Amino acid sequence: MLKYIGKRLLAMIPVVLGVTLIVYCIMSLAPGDPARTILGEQASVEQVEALREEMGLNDPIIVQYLRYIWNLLHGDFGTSYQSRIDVSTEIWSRFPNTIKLALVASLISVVLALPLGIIAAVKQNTFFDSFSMFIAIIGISCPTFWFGLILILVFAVNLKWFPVSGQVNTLKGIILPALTLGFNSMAAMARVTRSSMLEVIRQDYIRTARAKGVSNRNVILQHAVPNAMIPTVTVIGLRIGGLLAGAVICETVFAWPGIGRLLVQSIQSRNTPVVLGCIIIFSICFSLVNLIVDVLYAFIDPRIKSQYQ
Amino acid sequence: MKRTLALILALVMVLSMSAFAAADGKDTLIVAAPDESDNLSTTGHDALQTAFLNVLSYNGLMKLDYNMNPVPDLAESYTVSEDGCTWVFKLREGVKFHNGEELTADDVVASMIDAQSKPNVASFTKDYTAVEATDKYTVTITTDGYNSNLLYSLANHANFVLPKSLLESGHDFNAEPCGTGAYKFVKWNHGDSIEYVANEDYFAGAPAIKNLIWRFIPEGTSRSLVLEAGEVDFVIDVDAANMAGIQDNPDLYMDIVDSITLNFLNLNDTKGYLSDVNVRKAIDCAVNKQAVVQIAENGHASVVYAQAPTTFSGSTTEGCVEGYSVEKAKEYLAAWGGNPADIELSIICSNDAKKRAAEVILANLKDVGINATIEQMDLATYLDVTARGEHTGFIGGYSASSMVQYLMMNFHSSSIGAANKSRLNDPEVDALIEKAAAARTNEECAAILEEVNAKINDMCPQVSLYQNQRLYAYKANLANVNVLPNGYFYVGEWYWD
Repeated sequence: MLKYIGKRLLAMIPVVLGVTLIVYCIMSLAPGDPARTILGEQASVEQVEALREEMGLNDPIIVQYLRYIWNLLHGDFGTSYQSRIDVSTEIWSRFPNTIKLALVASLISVVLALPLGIIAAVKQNTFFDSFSMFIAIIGISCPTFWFGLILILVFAVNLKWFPVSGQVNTLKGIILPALTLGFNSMAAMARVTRSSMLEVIRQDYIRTARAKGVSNRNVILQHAVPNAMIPTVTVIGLRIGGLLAGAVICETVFAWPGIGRLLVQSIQSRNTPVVLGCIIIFSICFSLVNLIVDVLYAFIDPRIKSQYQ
Repeated sequence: MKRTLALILALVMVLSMSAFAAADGKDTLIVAAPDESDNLSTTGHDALQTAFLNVLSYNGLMKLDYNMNPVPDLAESYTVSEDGCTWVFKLREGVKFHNGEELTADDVVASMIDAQSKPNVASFTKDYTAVEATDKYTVTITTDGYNSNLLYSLANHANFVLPKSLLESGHDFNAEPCGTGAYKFVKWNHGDSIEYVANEDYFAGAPAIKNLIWRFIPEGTSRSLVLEAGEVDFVIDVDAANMAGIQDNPDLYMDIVDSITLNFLNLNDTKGYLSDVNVRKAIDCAVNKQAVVQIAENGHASVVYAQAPTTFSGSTTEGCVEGYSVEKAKEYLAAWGGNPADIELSIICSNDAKKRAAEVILANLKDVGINATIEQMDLATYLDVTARGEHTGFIGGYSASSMVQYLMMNFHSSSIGAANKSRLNDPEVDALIEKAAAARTNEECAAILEEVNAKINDMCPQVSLYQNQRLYAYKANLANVNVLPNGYFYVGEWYWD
């Protein structure tokens, strides 16, 4: 197992490099001049050209890319074109907030999705099933910004139970943004859990367990749920990755100082070093989450564990 | 089950109690702003939102009063020589920077020379040719003849005064601003807020509100909701859609300020048929500006027909097209003599409000047979394309502190490649703008400005649309709040009632 994990960690290096190459090329080929964005409308064409030269933007893209990678290998993520602050400082001041939000949102979505999905499957075609899937459809259908604003209006403005924003380091400060972000993921997870459970509870070994007189509760919890978890864990992994990178709208509504908003702003201003820094962090996170999901498979299904060995 | 329910109820109670306990004291002011500044330095940007922050921490030789007139700030007084080329500023004595150093003429000289090397603020530093310290508290500024715009430029963030010692040591003013202003920078929580504390040694008197937190809340509705929830005290740029909720709340006050920003449909006068004045006038006549205001700004703006903001003296409607008239537009097109369908006009929009304006214009132009299109671009692309003059049209806006500054930036040929994006290049217009800048009296200046404005109106280099309103909201017990037409405000003068 350790050997497998080691191999996967090594495989992350070409993945990250490949991602940086693609993103660097896209940023370089996209219209818009970083030098003009930095100097603003008042700068003359000559001043903009001088800055391009100083920044090395007139060099061939491959030269610029290799220079970036060389600096990266020395631990230098570069300097933000706009703020002139180290990219690592820019990112690390926000990244913990993104991780915090993604983890709490994931926790909320998993805690809500698993019971909903399981109950919906076990009580198929009953009121519980319809109710669970109704909640799931609402979760998928509600636009994040709308749901977030409704939560703010009800729980922050009217009931005053939670703050609208600005309390990143408190439990009550994270609940509304995490709930907003987690609600949509919860819906997807609940639906996958339900369909996976429906498939499992029709298997012969479940019928055998029931025939042997195992209580319904034990059949579900000990036999059905573990076997239904592979697709659910896969979706959870993908969703956590998505929550890390895709929280922009939630961050905007709740003024959450996360990395998603930084990434979007940086793309708009052609702030290539910050964009690349964010993308590297995201690709590492995605790879790690995928690795964790693959390792979890081994614990859920002994047959997969034997393949790793 | 009962235990779980009890636990949940207890948790909710604890959370609610702590929420109520978080009510702020009256020695703190929390401001909600829409955009986070990229750069806190005084010379590394030309963004209004960052200028607000500069005004907190810095001062210039001059400042703008509430009628937008330049008045002495760090300067105690000033005199101008007979030939108008030498301006002598006497500094206030005993003014302290946030690092404890005393302000001297050397600091002013170092700051202005440094500013002249910064492209972001080029238009605010070209009014003076030399600056020197005559003695410890006297600064002499040299200009190419009398320049009425100088005093306005000295009130701009570009020419705010920084400590010479820090400038020479390579201090990072972006990471740690240090000026003479009412509030001292404490901490920048990137992506979230900036914290300030009152400057107890402030030369105009220590601010009554001791702590200031400047929060960044990009979403318009969220910005209004945090005010309604009591989490912030002052909101910059209230979303017009949220005005009603604030106006109905007796604990809040809504301030509607007519801004000096003129929004326009820029036309590149060097591209295709747009180089013909009749085509440009036809487009101007064909646009229903009242509808543009309604759709783009929810009605919170004033229609403008002149080529320059109507707020300043020297503005005139002489030479303007006759207002919205499809018939008149068709007459102009007939005078041009070409086929309207051949006119190429692609309107670049870089945000939603601009796109809404462009959609109205598109429909209007169709009525006279012009098939314009809309191009959506992000800010970086828009800046690049328009600076290179590769555009045919775009929706944009510009604000300046004075009429001379506005005309100089938008219509003087020296600004082609920078802010003069209609690329108007007329020696007579250039000469008149320069003459207005050199006028010694307000009356003389206004007369020349009227002349040049009438001329520019007649040339119709672009299509003026509207001057919008700035919407600010704050708690009703926040006193002495005044907002200038350019959006500036002086927090150091505010207090809790």
